[in-house]
Amino acid sequence: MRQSCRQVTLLAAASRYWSSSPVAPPSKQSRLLLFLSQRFHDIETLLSWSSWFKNRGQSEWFRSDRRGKFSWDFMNHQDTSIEEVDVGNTLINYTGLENLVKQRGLRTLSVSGCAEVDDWFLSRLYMFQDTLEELDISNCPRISVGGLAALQKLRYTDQHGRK
Amino acid sequence: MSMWKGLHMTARAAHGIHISSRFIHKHMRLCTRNISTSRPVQNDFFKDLENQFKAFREKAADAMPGSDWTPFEKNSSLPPERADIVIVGGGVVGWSIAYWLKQKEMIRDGVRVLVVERDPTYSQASTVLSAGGIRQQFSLPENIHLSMASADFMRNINEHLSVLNDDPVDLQFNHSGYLFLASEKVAHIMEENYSTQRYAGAKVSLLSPTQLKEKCPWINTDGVVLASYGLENEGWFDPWMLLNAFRRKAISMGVYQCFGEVTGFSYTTNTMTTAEGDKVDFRRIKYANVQMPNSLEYQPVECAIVVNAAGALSGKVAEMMGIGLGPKDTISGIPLPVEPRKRFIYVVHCPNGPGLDTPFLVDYSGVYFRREGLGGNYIAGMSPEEEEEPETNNLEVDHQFFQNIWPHLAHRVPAFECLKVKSAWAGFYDYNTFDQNGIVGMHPLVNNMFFATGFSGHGLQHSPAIGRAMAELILDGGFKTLDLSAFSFKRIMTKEPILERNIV
Repeated sequence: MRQSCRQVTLLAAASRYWSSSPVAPPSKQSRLLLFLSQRFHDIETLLSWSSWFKNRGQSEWFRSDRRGKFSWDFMNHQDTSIEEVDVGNTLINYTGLENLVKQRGLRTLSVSGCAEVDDWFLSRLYMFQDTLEELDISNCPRISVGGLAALQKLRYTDQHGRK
Repeated sequence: MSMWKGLHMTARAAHGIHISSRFIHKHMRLCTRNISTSRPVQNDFFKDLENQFKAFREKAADAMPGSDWTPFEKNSSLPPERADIVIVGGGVVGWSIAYWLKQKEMIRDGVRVLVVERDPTYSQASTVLSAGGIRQQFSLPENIHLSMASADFMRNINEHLSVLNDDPVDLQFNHSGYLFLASEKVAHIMEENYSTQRYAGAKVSLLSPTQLKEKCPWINTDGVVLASYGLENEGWFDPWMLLNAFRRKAISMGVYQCFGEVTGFSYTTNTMTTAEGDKVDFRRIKYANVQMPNSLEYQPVECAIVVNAAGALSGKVAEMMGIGLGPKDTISGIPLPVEPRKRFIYVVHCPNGPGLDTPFLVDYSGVYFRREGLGGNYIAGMSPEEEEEPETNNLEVDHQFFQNIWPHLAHRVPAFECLKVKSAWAGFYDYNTFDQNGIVGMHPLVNNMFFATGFSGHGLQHSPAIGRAMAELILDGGFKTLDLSAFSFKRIMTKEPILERNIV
């Protein structure tokens, strides 16, 4: 399976301008940074198998290393919920949030530098209204006042953002 | 020419032959240019054979009946003499239908669509005078689905309506959501509507007075028992941008636009007898007479289908076909129940008001307001009682009417006690006097007139989905994505209204 996954990720590197989500797999409890530099379509499908993604434990980030290889250690940690997600500088958009819908414990979300994040994306963040504490929307060129008006639905959040 | 080139290439190896072939080639050209007369014509004819045939075909097509060629010069602002579908009314609904018709045609130039609009300045058009809100909080599932489909369209508007080399469409959509407040008497209606909305897939949440106060500290929850807040796909946008986006895209796809007024129709009548012996007239529109502005000149446009999307004036257009002018107890005696109703919107300024977070608030007393821009301005309005309906022959604003609105505003939002009215405007609703919901579909007696009117204040927010539904009805013969058969003319004949159970 590892080999086929590697091939799939190589394929994923081409194509899909309108890619939905490069969001990574479930993370762990305290400090998880999912740093994605490419789109991993295979991981998208894994995400939708929600029973896999609840881990307990570590306080480090899951990210891909310099060569773009993503370790599969997260598979060892199932049944914990993701707390912090950083999808900065990716092509995540409104449809991509589908993958994060089930993450009820999300505390931090960073979409800094994402070119496809627009007002409709922000309007969909109400899903995390009870738990989201930090939201970073800096350097997103497509956000406007209309989207910021949507952020009133998030109750406890401090927002960092710059144009 | 290519023949000579080929020779040239093969002869390259043998230098001498190469020179001689070039010499011959040049010599031939010199000869053809100066000396013989038959040669050049023959050469050019064969070279241009493809183009000659094409020119011949075009000339033949022009000479056939049904083409646009006329030997006389005519006024170019007149519409074409023939069109497949004539859409009466150039508001957002009319242009949405035009866009979707072109979007759904199976072959290039499959249908010739003409949109006729009376007023190029849109000074009285309901579209541009609208508050521009969109919500899913209705009680009829059809209305909820229409709003959801329209919001989906607007989310991906650049995929649908972007034109090459032109600016992308920016609707300036404010995602603030609608907040409905219910009193004790009407809370049960709100709860039932909530379950209908959730079942249809709309993202709505119910709030208790304490939750409401926590969310909106500037609100006075006196008298409020329940509140319903739209979480997604609700808010307001710029109607002029949407209208222009549809118009620009439709024109780029080949829709004809004409500024003129439809003053009458020429039709054929087919009289048939029912089983009881009553005579029924079935009419078929043959020509739509389009009169130019400020002129007596008119053009009868031969058409196959007419779509009545004239908004507040749809009743008049229907009367031109004799709909409603027959004997009282027959189908032809039932008029199209759409008439203009004037509504006022007041712009108020309040520096200490609710601010950026203001949703589009609709109170149970009928008063509504929303934020406008970032300078502390809000727009407010209220639907008048039946008896107090203002007259509709002009768009003058009755400033006294604001005295009815202000007490409710100040009661609900204490900060609004010190507001100042900056300006106001008035616009028409295409008000359906029968049940205040849209009329979509064909008329039973006029076989080729379709209606897309009577939305009573919801036309703008439903326009993308209505356009798609009408295009499916016309081109595919029936509704495909959304079933709007509940909005057909049939309910008006059988006198069965489908009413929105609003709390206001």
